[in-house]
Amino acid sequence: MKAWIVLTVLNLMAGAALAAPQIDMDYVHAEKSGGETTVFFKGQSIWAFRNPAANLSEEEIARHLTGDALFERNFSDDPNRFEYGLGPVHNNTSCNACHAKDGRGALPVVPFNKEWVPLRQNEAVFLRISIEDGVKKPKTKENKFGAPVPVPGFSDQLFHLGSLGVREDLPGTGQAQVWMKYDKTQFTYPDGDVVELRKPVFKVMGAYDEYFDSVTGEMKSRLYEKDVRMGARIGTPMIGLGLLEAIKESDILALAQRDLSAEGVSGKANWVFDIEKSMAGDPYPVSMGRFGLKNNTPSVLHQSLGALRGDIGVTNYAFPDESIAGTPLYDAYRAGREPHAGLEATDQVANDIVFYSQTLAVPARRGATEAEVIRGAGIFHQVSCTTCHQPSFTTGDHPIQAFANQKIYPYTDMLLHDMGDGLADGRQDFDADGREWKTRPLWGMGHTQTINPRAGFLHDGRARNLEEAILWHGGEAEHSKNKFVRLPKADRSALIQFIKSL
Amino acid sequence: MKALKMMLAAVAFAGATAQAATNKEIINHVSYNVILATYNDLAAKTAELSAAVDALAANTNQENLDKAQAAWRAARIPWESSESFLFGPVDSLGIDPLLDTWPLNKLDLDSVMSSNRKITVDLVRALGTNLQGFHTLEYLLFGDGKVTNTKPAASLTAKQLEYLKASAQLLAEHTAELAHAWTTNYDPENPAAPGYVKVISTPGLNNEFYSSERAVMEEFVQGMMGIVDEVANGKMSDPMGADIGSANMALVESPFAWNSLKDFQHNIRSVYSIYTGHYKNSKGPGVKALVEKVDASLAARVEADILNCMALIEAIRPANGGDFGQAIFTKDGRARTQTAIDALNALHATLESEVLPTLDM
Repeated sequence: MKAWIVLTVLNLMAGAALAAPQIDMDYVHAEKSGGETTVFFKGQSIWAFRNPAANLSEEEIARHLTGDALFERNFSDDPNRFEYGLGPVHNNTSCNACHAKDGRGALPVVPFNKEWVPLRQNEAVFLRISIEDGVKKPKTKENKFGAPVPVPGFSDQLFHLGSLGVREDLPGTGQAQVWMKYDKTQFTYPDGDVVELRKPVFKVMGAYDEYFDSVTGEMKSRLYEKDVRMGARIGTPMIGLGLLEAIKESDILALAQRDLSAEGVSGKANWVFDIEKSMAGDPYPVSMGRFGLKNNTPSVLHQSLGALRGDIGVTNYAFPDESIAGTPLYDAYRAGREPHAGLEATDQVANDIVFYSQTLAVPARRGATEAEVIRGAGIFHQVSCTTCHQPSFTTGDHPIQAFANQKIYPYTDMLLHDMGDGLADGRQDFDADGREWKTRPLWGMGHTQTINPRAGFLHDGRARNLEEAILWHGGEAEHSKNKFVRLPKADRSALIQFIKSL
Repeated sequence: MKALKMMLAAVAFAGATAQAATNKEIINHVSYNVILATYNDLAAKTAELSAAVDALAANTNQENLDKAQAAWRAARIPWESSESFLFGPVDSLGIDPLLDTWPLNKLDLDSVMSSNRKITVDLVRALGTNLQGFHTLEYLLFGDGKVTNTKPAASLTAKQLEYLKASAQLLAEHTAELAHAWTTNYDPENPAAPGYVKVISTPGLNNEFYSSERAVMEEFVQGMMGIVDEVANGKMSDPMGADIGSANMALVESPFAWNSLKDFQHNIRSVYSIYTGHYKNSKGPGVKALVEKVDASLAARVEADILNCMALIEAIRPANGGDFGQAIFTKDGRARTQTAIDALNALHATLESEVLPTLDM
């Protein structure tokens, strides 16, 4: 009872000062984050993200388990194996390798006495690449309705691993070698507390088209030209994706219509190429984006099968061509080899992976009745986190009945926001510009680092904990971050305790 | 019969030692004397494997090959015995796939062997996870496993010996890193980070990963459940298929050394260790000590079930020679496999519906 009174006061304060949108404050006490799909984990466990939605039918659970095995399958480039399909270039060999135990990935280990380290086998991060001239173009069939422009001779993703035979000069390497180091800075709170922040910086070497320019004395590659933009992406959690897919488009678009100018916030939808519409012959195959760190894919199917072909190099019915088809590297690799007939993933395999990706359960809240957590929930709203980390939705229809009409608590508005220079990657992706990112869902956050103790937050995994993640917020989130940093330390801590309860 | 005697002896023994232990004592014992001890054994046994492979390369004869094969089997034990507690660094440092990716990429391995490339540790490190680790070593040491699990020393080529040396050294390097992460420093980027054993053995509000003793106890039980399910419904069911026609040798793990049944038993042995707190010569309270406080008969029944599962897995072994991969192609072998799977599934159900709830009693 007492907690409710405190909250009401906070709510009124926030409302009076900011004209914040109406937020349904039931999130403070809600425990079933995924509605009836929710699974309950009282403790902390590496198994917290590995369960099928609680309300699936027996038949659906069997299908989920089939997909589970595929998610862990190590694809091979040996045509004699039934796991065939890996590569020829890739970033990893299984889905699970980037989404360890269905959770978040970590950046490569940089021992404290080292500076640059190479991305090797089994890293959970890769680079998106594209050509950028800063001019926004109309969506046409020719530019794949506004897709990033691939780097000529490469792709829109840099593959650092390759099957044997792809690079005679560098066995195991794909299109190029990628190295990483950290740039470190310090953030000082008004109360004097200091936090070290780190940001991964990448450099690319040993590109397959590299040559020595005797005039300039430099190594040259199309990849090293000034118009190439690169942005790192880390493996993200797999929970609740079917529920996010079931959120009504109209509800998301309504959030984009809010006037949040007082807070400096203006969320927007991304409108992106839709492979399912394209396959169905739609002349304008564009849909609202929901998945990917810039909302650059519209569905779990598009996202999963794109990753299957992209990250692992396994062709499938949605993405039938090898990711580097048409490049000199691919042509050289293919020469003298028998072409492989047909797709590498059968339609059944592809669809089971999609189904699995849709049906991983969100774990229930923990500690929702603890006073500190309840206090943190109020502060969460007080500093306007709820503006973008929209606590709840009620889902609409979905082909998987279990996800329809569920009251869920994902803590995302599913929209793009300018997050400032610190997080910018300078790459356009359909309607998302180089500073815009999708609001990440916060459900399951408290389990993340039990599942993977080195799991990193934000799009490139730079933040080692939630405090660092908050401090990187800029742009439209600057207003909230500034409120956060001015809080007394005990309040900052309560807010983080609340996020960990999710 | 022998298995039954062993089982009864163990039941009587564990019952006597594990009385009235607190969760703190259970967590402390299991963390240090089961989990940490296993990772230290893994590092030691892979170092011995690397030394045995070096000796084989220096003096290639049947005796040294036999020793290297025995060293591979010995190193396999602590690794498979770690599978009920795949927490922390084994994932966060990305070590698991570097040790144990299956399947091996034989095509690429042959291609490296037939190339003029100099085989070094760094070359193997740069190659795929499916060209290094236990199964690459297994294939080179034992042959293709089709007709037999033995290989004449004379058939080892100079290149194979070089590859064996490099990959054994790399395996030992990765397991040393894993042991270091558990004993000393779980995050090489942060010298102040303790060994992960400290993290898991000191739950509390200041612990980033485990806020309570109950949370760690749940991790232990979930880990037991996880590997019981994996052995039954992954490692055994998948290769077995629905019928003999759909049985698939290519899905069998450790097929070259014919070590699959040993692998599965050691997986379940790790469940036994967490449950009873009994690892090699070390005895102390395990999860059973907590269950006993609530229901002594349940506590004893679960222990007997675990031992029975191990015995049923061993019973799959074909009488006329061979291993799991051969058993699943015979009617009798499949029936024995199904019996083991059923027992494992029953154990999983007991752990989930009866043992897990005791954490809250």
